[in-house]
Amino acid sequence: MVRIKGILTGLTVCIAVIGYLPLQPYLDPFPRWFFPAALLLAFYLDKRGSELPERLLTPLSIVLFLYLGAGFSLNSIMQVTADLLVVFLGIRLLGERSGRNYLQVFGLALFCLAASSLYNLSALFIVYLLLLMLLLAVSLVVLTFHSHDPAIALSRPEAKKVLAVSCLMPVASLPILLFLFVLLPRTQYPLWDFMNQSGPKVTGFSDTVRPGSAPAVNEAKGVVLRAICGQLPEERLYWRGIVLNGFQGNDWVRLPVEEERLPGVGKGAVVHQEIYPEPSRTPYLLALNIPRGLSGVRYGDSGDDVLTMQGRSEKRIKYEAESVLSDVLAVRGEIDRDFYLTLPARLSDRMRAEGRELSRPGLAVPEKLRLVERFFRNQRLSYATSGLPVGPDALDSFLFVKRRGHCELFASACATLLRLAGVPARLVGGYRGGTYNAMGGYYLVTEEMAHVWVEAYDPARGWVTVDPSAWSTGFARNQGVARQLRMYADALGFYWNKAVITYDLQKQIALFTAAGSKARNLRLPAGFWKPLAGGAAALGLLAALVALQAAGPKSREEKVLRRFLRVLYRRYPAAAGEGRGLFELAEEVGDPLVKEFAAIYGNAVYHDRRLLPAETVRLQEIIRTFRQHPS
Amino acid sequence: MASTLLLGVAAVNTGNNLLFLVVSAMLGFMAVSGLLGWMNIRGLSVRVRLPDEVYAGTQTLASIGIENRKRVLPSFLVTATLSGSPASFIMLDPRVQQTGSVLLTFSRRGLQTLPAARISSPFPVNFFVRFRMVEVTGSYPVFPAPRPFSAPLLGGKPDAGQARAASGKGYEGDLAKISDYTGAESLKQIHWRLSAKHEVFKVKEMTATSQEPVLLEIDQLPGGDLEERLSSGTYLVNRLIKSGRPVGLKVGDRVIAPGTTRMHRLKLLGELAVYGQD
Repeated sequence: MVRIKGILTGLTVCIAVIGYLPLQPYLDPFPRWFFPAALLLAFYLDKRGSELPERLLTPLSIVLFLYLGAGFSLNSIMQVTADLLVVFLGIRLLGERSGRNYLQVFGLALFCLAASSLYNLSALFIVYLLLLMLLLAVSLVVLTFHSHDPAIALSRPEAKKVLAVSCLMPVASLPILLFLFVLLPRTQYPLWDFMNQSGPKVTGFSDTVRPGSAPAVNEAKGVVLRAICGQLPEERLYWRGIVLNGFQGNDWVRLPVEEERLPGVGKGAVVHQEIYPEPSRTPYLLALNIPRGLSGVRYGDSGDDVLTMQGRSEKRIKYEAESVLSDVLAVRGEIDRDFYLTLPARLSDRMRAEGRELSRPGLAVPEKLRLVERFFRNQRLSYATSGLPVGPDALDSFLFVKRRGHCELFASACATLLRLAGVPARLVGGYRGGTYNAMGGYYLVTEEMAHVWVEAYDPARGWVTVDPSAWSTGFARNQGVARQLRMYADALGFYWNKAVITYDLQKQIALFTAAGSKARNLRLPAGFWKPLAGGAAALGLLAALVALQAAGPKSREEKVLRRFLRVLYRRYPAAAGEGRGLFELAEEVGDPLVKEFAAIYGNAVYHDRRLLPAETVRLQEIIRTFRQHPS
Repeated sequence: MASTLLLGVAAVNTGNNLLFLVVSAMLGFMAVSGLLGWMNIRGLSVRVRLPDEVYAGTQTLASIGIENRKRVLPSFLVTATLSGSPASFIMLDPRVQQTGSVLLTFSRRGLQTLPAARISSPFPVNFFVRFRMVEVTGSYPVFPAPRPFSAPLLGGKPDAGQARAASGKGYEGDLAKISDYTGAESLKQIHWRLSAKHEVFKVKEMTATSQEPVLLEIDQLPGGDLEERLSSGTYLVNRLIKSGRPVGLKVGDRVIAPGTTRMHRLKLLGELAVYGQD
């Protein structure tokens, strides 16, 4: 026998833990430790068969409420609520095992899980939710038995049946969940949006390049964006973010550019991208170099093709970008040459000398670019992310002493040399590369792909993209097997964000509009009706068969009797009519075979047992005899 | 329900899709549990078996049988209430009948039909108790309530007929045998310990002494009105037959010859039950 109370206790503990786990990393230390302690105490009390009295737990709840509630403010509203939920959940585990208390545990666990969604939007949530739904369904059913009689015990087969029917509920409610999720009304501007802001991990690139500020670069692995587009050649994967055009001391920064210089885009393949960036604190919207326009988000476009989002939002967004894969950003009119030739505050003599060498009169910009490339290659600079030169003369050290550096040093040195040579140059910050997820059909761009390259101005063409890092030795991305495996996990997270997290009023309206217009504009091809009619007829036939089966005799005994009566009435039409039992019929017609049938049938069915195989065979023989000799 | 509403408001206000997921899950769960609860009390048929002797105004133990006619789904925690008396069933397997017992009291004599049975269940979630009424078919004769009175006839010598050996049932003699409860017996006679081991209630039958035949005429019976006379008749029929005296009955011009068998007694009581109700 299975004790209902035992099952209920186990399920309640599981439910409470599922409520606590997703919220645990975000709790203050006190509630984080209070819950496991309460759980252990509850185990101990359960083993002893005792529980803490309400007269102790109620004051404890009030004291803890006041203690945690004291930290309440508009900024900490979520934190305090989460802490209180977990503490109350712990307290409820210690109390009396009554139906009301069990329900409170279930409710609190559900609220804890809901509260976790304001901290973390990961796809793990759906796993917790489904698990919780399953356990809640079973628990609520078990609780119903418990309320009927707390001491109730079920046999194992009975318990299995109860369990099976309880599991039916969450399984059957899944399609409704999906349907309602799409259908539930959304608002355009959430009222309590501030509650959502504390959550997502924020990524972003720096808007200052400070060569020589650190000896190593921390290779963070965070996701920056995912972009749906076809697979492109590796050398084309430059994600443009920011342009750094001037100096603040020795640091490259972004200074305001004049608005009247509207850029045009050079010739090249047009690539359409659907971009899902991770929440970021920077306003820059990334797209493949060189972006021609965006849609799906309000943005501003500065003169140097840097796209910035208007209005701050740290929520997940999605936008579409159109880029031309070109090395050249054409410029209409003239640029402010002096602005783009400004030099850093400090420059080493060796760099100045190299600059003078390049600024020989008579050299066109393409030649100067070739000379710079040759210089870089001759220096045998290697690409590295550690052991970097530091200090105010980092560029000099990079070019002539250490000869190792990362993209910031390559780009800064190159742009500075170009400016020394009289070629207007600027840095472009963004990301280079991307891991193509063939399963999801998108590029995954991560933090460690952050990159800086150079744009040099050629009056004949416009801004020409130059990536000096490519002139280094050892500049390559690692493509490990682990990365490939990681793609599968990433694809899951991507679809989760795409389908669930970013679903909003606009998508809802778009979905309904699309469905509506599809229904209105439904045009069926001429030859469509025949197979459709055939299919409908087949379905109808199937439905009729099922209905016939449902309405017809249900058991073997009933079937046999029905067949027997049919042949009997054929032989003895006078016997047809209602209201007569089998034995009465047998008496009336006086046929020994009918009497035998009645005896065998009555002996089984009227004694509440099923027909034995041998009996069925004999009855079928009788029926066959009647059928073969209908009169 | 309230928490779903609260989370729904929170979801709309925060625009957080995960909260929308939780709310959708809860609404879906509520819909499915509602459907399951509805199905749980569907497809149940009720059959009531009353004892052979049911007297107006007297509590009678009736057996109530519930059959789950669904093909697959068992029904859980079903309570069948008949005239305010409940019988509970933890689990009703499909296509299986289970029986329980209810205490019934009929206020009037005659051919009575039972009120519809109230089938209720809190399954699957104890938030609501769903119920539906299920018709109970069949009519049952309810005998007039026995009205005890004292008469010389009960104790004195018989006017006619022969004396018979003491072989009938009574209340005060020795234990004669154990038999099934028919409804005629007083609840005091039920042998509870034995009943627990059987599906039907068992009663102790005591011996009584036997007497000579009597012919009862309804109009001559004691009582202020017809109902009282019929009640006196019921008492007399039972009392006399149990004490071994053959009893007959004159109904209008029809005469039912005296007898002492149980079937005979039931026939007489049946006549008294429907007298004047044709």
